[in-house]
Amino acid sequence: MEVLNNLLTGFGVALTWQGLLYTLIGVTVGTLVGVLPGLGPSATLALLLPVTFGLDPTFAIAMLAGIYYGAEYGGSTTSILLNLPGEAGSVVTCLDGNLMAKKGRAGAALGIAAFGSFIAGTIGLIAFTFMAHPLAKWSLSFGPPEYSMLMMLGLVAAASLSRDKVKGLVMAILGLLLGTIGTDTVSGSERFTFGIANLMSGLSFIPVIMGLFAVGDIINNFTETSETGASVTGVSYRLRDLLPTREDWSYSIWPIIRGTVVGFLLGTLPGSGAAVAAFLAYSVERAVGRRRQLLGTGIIEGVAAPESANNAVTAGAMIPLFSFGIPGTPTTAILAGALMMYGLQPGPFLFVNHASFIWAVIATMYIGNVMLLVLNLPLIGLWVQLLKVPFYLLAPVVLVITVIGAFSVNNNIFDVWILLIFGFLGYLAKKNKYPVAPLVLGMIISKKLEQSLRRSLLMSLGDLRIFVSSPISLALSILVAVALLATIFSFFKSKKGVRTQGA
Amino acid sequence: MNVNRLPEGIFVIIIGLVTIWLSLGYSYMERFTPGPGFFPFWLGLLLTVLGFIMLVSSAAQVRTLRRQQVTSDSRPVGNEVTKEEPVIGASTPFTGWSDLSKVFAALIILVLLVLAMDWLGTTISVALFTILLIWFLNPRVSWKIVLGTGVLVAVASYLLFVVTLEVPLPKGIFGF
Amino acid sequence: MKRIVQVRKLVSSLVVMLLLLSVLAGCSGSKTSTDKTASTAPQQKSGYPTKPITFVVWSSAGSPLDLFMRKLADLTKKELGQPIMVENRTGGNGAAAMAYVNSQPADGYTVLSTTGSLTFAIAKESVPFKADDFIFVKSFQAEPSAIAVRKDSPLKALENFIDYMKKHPNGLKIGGYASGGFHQYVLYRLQQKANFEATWIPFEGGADAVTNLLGGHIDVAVITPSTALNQVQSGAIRLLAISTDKRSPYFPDVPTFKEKGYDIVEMLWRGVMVKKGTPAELIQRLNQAFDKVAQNPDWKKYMTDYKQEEYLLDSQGLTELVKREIADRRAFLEKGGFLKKK
Repeated sequence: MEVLNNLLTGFGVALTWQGLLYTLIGVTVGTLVGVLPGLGPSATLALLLPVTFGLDPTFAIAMLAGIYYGAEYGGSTTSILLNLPGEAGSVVTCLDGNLMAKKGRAGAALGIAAFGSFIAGTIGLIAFTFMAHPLAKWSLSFGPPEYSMLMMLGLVAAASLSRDKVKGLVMAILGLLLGTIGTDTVSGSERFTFGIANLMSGLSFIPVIMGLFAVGDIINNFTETSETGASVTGVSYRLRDLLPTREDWSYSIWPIIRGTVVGFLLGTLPGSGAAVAAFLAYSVERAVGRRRQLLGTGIIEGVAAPESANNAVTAGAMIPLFSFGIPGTPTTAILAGALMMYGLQPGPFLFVNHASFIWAVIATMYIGNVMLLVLNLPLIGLWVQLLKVPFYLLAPVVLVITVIGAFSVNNNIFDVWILLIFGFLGYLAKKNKYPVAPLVLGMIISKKLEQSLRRSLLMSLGDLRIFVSSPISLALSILVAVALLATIFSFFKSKKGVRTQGA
Repeated sequence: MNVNRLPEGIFVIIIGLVTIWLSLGYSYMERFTPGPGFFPFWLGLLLTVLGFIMLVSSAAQVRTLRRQQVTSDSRPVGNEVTKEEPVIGASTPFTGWSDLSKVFAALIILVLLVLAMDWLGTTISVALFTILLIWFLNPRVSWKIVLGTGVLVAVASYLLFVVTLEVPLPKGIFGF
Repeated sequence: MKRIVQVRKLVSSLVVMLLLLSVLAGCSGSKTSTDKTASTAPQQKSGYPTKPITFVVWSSAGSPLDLFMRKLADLTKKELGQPIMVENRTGGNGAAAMAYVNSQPADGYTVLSTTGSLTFAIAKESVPFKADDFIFVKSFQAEPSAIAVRKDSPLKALENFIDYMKKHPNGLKIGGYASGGFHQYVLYRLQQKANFEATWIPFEGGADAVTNLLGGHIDVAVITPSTALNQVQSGAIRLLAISTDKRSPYFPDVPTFKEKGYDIVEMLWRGVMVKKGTPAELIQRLNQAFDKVAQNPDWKKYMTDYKQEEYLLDSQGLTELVKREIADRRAFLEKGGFLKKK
């Protein structure tokens, strides 16, 4: 009850005109940054940090936090419309989202992404408000062995992303291989850098992702489209017709809830990130969803689950920050920095020493989520019009955005070359029907997987039993084994299927 | 669906073997734990194995398909997922030479953009790139639209990325 | 006809983009106003600086080094009367930023961040640069390393830790940020002086090591104490020893290694450097401005908020320190097998 009282007091501050204004600015900037590929929320936060100095800390932090969760909202837009994931978290959204857009259902996809994000964000906040303490304990129970098994689970999920298991596995392993490029943090030695200084810190994800998806797609379209351009015709532009239907909702509601749970729990684990959460949420649908066979053909669950998951992550990620004062993601690290600049030390003492401040910030997050929904729904009508722009005008604009976006990740022209190389590879993959999503997931989990495995063995001095020694790692190990067996089983079944199908 | 995966399989095996060879340059075990070479080595091995699986399954499928085509003309029924019919044919990464030339032309324009960014500055390069690419994709668009879009894209990206978001884009000889 | 409609659509969507932009511009308005106050600051008679200066940071936005450079830029621009831009150029353990700065003229308008980790990188030859490629201008702050255990650990003092390790080689799980980096170096120095054997578990970052310590996955962490400030203050984490010369004002209860009889004084400093060939008078001008910044109450407050130790060395002092550190660290890296075999 004390929590409720505190929260109500917080709303008192959040609902003042300054509270509303700065929250609005934050979520608007966040949406914009989310829509633009490359430039992530962490760079924007660092940029705006000095601007906020004159402000009251409550409003400053409300604005900065708004950018953080607002960016996750915006991330899905380009994935759905242009097959252009702006960050790793929205890669999975491309799979079904872009197909939906091609079928003329971009509005429904964008709509469910916005609603799903809202629901996930709000449930995540409620969980954060009332259960921060037990969740903090859960997040500490993850050490190297637990992470190893979690990442293994992600790897098995990668194989489940594509229908052709062999091609999917080849791509996932290539992704893992790409992830090993750079300095190996366990031994400190360099691998596969071939003396190129820019490779020492590894390949940046964003240029690779944008190259494989967007640039590859556009190059492919060069060879396919005529000058007719607009791919979608006869789409109504009235907002009411764009929103998800009752049927869409009945398909989406459980994926949203499952996605929220997966995303929130993974969000509380420092360093696992939105991408893994979105991938896992998608593979949960693969395993238990009502229409699991149709995933990957452009159905709404394929948008609802990962988009809910990557938004729930942002709420979950606040838990390590506020419970221990330890940021789990680069963006929360900047939030921690901002708090310190105001002389507010992030961590459990914040709730004791600055209760009114922290509850006001939490209240603005509730309001910010509502604002994002209100802000994003009318935008859908506008975004959908983008599909009417003929290809010959859209392609140069998208390519310019990806080039500048790739540059802005590290302010390094090297990343633009990476973008072009992977654009060409993405084209080749598409032509030969190799799925690129498993490669992206492989690349994202590679470092964490390898390092957690090796770190675990350093801890146990080489004893493999460490992977089954704690209840969580044991449970995860069993889950990995079951998922692996199921994959192998379905592989043989599908192979038989190909043969009998021929007979 | 093309069932002939021979070239792809061989390609995957080559990548696998090169990876194994490179990973031998890093230590496999360090004291009692895997070293930096451990993980890449196993990835290379897995790739090689997958490449062989592709070869074997491809050969098997090609054989069954040939046999069917000889014995009966009943076409295999594609399931609801892949509607394409299995065919035997040399799998090539490109559908034809005209495609290839289009792809390379597009890549060359992109490479020129990146090279020009350092010299002419991002804003001018972006305008030129946009104009060139629209013209390349659809030569019949009126020059007003082509020029207009080029200038608009350049100005919008300058305002958004350089002025507002302070991205230090390459400036070139004109300073913007 | 249809095309005109399409173009209208495109134009309208671009207009909306510009509208969003103006919202953004509106909120960054306060920044331009601070820039204006900067330009009205007293202009120096000497020529330099006559145009905006760029501070290049080799780590990503929001990192401690980035915040340091942004704060420094904010206060220095008032001293120099010119705006200062901060650019993050990451990649290659700082090599990308160094290469960029090297490609710019040596005119003092491009200033690069530098830290004690540079001496590791040079010793390890993981960056294609040497200490002579740059002029070290000044160091401002430094952070020590400390040995940390959980509240419930039976290790009450540094002596317990060393005794235990002597009796049980590799008996405790010890970890911290990076492999062959600063914190492992501090542990290595202790191993050398106290003569025990230990296995190092490297983590992605200091925060990662702290959560693993709290979660019971490792027994001992070697960390920058400010990473675990909350836990140290609440008592959830106990510091056994710290690598400062005298007791740190922020952690007055924590003994130094020196007090305990192990002469280990190691600090990971942060400062700035410029390309070699930059005229001496410009460096002097920069140093004058930096000296004033270091005395600024705003700066002092920032140092306290972030629990930074003051570590002021001028160009000469810093250059000597860098040379010494490179030699020491090369010896450590050679012994630990971190150097590339040639």
